[in-house]
Amino acid sequence: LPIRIEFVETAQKVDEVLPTLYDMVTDGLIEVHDTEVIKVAKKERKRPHVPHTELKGKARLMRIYMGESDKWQGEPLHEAILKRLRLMDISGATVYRGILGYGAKGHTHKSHMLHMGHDYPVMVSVVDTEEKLNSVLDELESMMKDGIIVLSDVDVIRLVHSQYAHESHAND
Amino acid sequence: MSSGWCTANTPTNLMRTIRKAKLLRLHFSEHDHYKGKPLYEAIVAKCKELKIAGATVFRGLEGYGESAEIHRHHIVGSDQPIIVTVVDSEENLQRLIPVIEEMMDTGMIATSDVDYIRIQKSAG
Repeated sequence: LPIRIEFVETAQKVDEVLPTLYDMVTDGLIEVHDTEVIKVAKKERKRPHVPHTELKGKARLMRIYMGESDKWQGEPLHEAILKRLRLMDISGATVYRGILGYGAKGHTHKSHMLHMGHDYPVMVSVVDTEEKLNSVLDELESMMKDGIIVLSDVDVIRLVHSQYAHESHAND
Repeated sequence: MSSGWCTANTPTNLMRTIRKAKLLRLHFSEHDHYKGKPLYEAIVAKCKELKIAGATVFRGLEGYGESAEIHRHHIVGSDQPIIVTVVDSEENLQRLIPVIEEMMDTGMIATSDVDYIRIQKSAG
């Protein structure tokens, strides 16, 4: 059976271990690539979860309006937006489905009992700091064809991360 | 390998116009009617008639308000809270609000200041 051992480390660490590996491998191949680390997720439970951004007091609320049938690269737009926001470390987002509406495209979003292809209005609401929200605007605009983005000032009263919530329960 | 999911193809020449506008929120019940029609349908129709930029109706799960009656889903006839949101210029909302006040029996009308970005890329 062919065996391949892979590891990702800093260039310095790789340089350190390379001579040893060079000696050890008598029959086979050693490859070194540059790689871009996008995400490091650890299953470690001990350390408390680090919140995305310390959110307290003044913040911004962003509402993004679109249609449920809007797509981005074949994927429902609201799902693509949610994933993108997570990737960009936005602290949270909620998708709402409306029951009726009209807007940018001029057509009425309404449920049609007899049609499978209904197009309900969809609104994604996001709360984060002004800088964070500004940093995702370009991305959102490039993903959306029609719709509006509405921003307003809000005060954040409380932000609880589930990890902390469990801990405080345990301490009770 | 292109990491297409990392950055969308962001056109750098995007001219962003952020405009000041008003957000209007109407809170009432799914039960409310106006001239035999659900009130939210009547309001959306009225918004279109008055050439308001857009309106969206959301149905909440549960709530209570002025009548202190809990709005929630019942097996027979649901009475869930309804929220209508409208984003438009202050002048347009000033035109709309008196008309809506006339149509609503009980409920709440709230406005707030917002910044908004209109995205319109598709033709027609």
